[in-house]
This record gives sequence, C-alpha cells and structure tokens, in this order.
Amino acid sequence: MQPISLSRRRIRQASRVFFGGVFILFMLGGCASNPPRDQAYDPAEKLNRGVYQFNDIVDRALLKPLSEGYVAVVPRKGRIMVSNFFDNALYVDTILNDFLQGKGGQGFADIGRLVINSTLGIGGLFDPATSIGLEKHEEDFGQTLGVWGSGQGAYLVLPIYGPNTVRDAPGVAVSTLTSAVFWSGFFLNAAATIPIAVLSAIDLRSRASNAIRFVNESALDPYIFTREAWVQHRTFLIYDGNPPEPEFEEDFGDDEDSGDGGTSGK
Amino acid sequence: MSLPCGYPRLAAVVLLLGLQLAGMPDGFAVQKNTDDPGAVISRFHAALLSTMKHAGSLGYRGRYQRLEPIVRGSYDFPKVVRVTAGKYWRGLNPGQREKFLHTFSHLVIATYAHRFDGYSGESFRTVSSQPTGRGRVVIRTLLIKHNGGRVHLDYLLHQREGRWLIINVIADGVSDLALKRLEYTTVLRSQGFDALMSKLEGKIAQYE
Repeated sequence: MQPISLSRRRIRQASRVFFGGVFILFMLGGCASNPPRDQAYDPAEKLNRGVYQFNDIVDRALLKPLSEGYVAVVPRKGRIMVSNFFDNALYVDTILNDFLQGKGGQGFADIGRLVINSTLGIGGLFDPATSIGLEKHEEDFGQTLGVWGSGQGAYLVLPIYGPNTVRDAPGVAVSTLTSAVFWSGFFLNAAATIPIAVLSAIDLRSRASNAIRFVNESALDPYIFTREAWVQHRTFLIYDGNPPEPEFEEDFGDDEDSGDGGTSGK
Repeated sequence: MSLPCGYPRLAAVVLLLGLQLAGMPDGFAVQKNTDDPGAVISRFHAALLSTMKHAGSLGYRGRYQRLEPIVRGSYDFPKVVRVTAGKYWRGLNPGQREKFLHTFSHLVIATYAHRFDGYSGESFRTVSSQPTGRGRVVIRTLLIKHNGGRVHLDYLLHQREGRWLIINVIADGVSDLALKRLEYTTVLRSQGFDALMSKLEGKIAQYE
C-alpha cells in the first residue's frame, strides 16, 4: 500500500470542506434554540437510541472482549504507557484550543507538557510533566465553540464515537486532524496504522470499562443516564470546573406538600 | 486515526457518581447537632475512607451494616425522594410514598455497600464552602486518586431541624439528583409507580 500523497490541492480541498462543515455546524449549534428544560435537548432521540443500541452491540461483540483480553495480557504499567502515549499524541488538540479560548498561559504550559513528555517521556510513553507541575488539561474544539458562545445544540450519538452534540461533533474532526497518530498514517502503511488505531480504541475502552459497567448496572435507562451525564459534564468542562449555580437550585422550590417528615411546606 | 477522549472523561465522571451516589454520611457523630456543614462533609469523608480501608474484611453485608446508620442519619431521604419523583409525588398516596422512601433509601445504602469495596490510596480535600440563596450551602471538595487524578465533588446541604443534611452530590458537574429525577419521572410517566418500584428492587437484588 502506498501512503496517500499530500498534494497541496488536496489539503486545500480538505480544509475547505472541513471549515465549511464546521461553520455550518457552528451556525446550527448556535441557532439551535436551547429552550429551558430539565433534560438535554434531544430532538433525534429515536435515532440516537438506535445508534446507542448499535454501539452497545459493537461494544459487547468486539470492543469489550478485546479490552478484557488486553487487560489480562498487558500488565498495568504497560497499559499506563499506552494511555500516556495516546494522550500525548492527541495533545496538540488541547493546545490549539487553549489558545482559541484565549487561555494563553495554559497554552504555553501545555506546550511545555507536550515537549517534556515527548522528549523526557520518550515519545509520550511516560509522564514526567505532571510531576513537575505541568498537569494535563482537557480542551477540545467543542468546548471552544461553547466558550465562543455556541449553544449546545441537539444531542447526537455518533456510531462508535458515542455521545456528542451538534456543537461538539466538529471537535471530533479537529481532534483527528491534530492527532499525531492520524498524521502518521501518511507515512506509515496500513499494516502499522490499523493496529495503532485499534489499540487506541482498546485503550479508551479499557479506561472506560468501570464506568460502562456502572452505567449498565445502576441506570434505569442507560441511554438517558449517558446522555444527561455527558451533557452536564460538557458544561462543567466549558466552565473549567466553575459552572454557574448548581442547576438544581430552583427545582428545590417545588415543595408542594406539607406534613411529612416535619418539613415546613411551601 | 484515533478516537476522541469522550468515553474516558465520561468514565471518570460516572465512576465518581458511583462512589458518591448517596451523598455523605455523617461520620461517627450522628446524634450531634452539627452547626458546620463543612464538618459534616469532613466527617463523612473520614468515615468513607475507613470503610474503604476495611472493605475486604467487612464484605458486602458488613459494609451495609456499617454504612446504614451513617447514611440514614446524614442524608435527607424524605426530601430527596420528593425531588426525584418530581410532579408525580403529588399523585402518590401515603402508602406509596412510604414504600418509595423505604425502597430508595435501601437502594442507596446497597449501592454504597456494593461500590465501596476497596481502597487504593484515595484522599479527599475540602476546597471551599459557599452559602447559596435560600439558606443552603455548597461544599466543594476534591477526590484525589493515587495517580494524582482529581474529581470535583460538590455537596449541596440544607438545614432541617437544626441539622445540616445532604440533598445532592455533583461530580464533575454531573448532578446525581438531576439524573435520578429524570430517570424516575420518565418511568413514572410511561410505566407507573409499581414499575418504578420493581426496577429499584431489581437493582437492589443485583447488589445483594
């Protein structure tokens, strides 16, 4: 297999499609009215549930057994190195979005983190940066759009990629385009990149396995649980851990009854 | 090609929800009339850690028995149950309300007993305490894992008869009470009260 040739024309075409798509999605996200509600805006719920089911089947049939095999075969230290590698390979995405959100200080710190982990950390396998205070941040293009003022838009479940929203979906493309693993595909042939991509999926899956099991055990409706937790967590990330007043504040005023347990009725 | 980090982030959050599903027990001083909500949380965290450290030797039953009085004494179950039922609470008769309260609290303690089954170097740190409007308080804390990873845990407390009690836990921005309310009202609307009870009882059976 030959690597794809990086002709200028192709890059320009791809950029046009990409930015055009982002622009459209951004407008959709911004225009998507987010009416006040007590659950995530999910107009495509039926379709989303279908995709969620599909993802669940693929997960049970493929990703879960692969991830369990991976955990059984690869010792913990090895798995940590794999996780570090992929976190590092994706880190340009965070750096880019640091600057897009105006977080210059964090951007430079993150550049430092990337450099240190790529060099001292031997290609990202180790994480010396955290121990010297350059901790890992989590920024992506979906959060950037949120910071720029885009409303969340409709909830989407993407095949394999999972929960997303109209605003956050372009982040998938940005994340991919800034990934070292993606670009390596131009230089390595498929025999190398496919196993790397699969390993990346297995790494993510094994890190998420406790949570997936928890969702399936505890949730009455895993689809709703996943959706709500995802959407709330995105808001949290956009506000960098300082979201406005806990959203439930107003709802506690709903006490209509009196006379049970001694609370003063309202 | 590589996957975006959606699931691991969600993973950290929901795992934490699992750990913090019921809010915080009041440590060893259940009878004390606590004036300081921060102290309620600190004592709770201490009690949690001690249960985690002896999790193996206690076993599920032991953990349940140890946690039950603490959880019941520190969490405002009647209030939480009312909120999770949303507008359907009004339509429940006293027998149903009692059943809901009983089943819900049983589920919460069982979830704790099931999930707190080990210890690997975790610690808690209280970061701040802020009053909200309406006389409630938000205590912001961090759960620090042995690898340095941190999860934000915010507790919402209110006062009832002079005691500070927890009514919500928010893990990395995800509100436990909001999730439960949405799930329960969805079932109440589409399938009714008995269906909800049997689902909750099914969950309990799964843990025991």
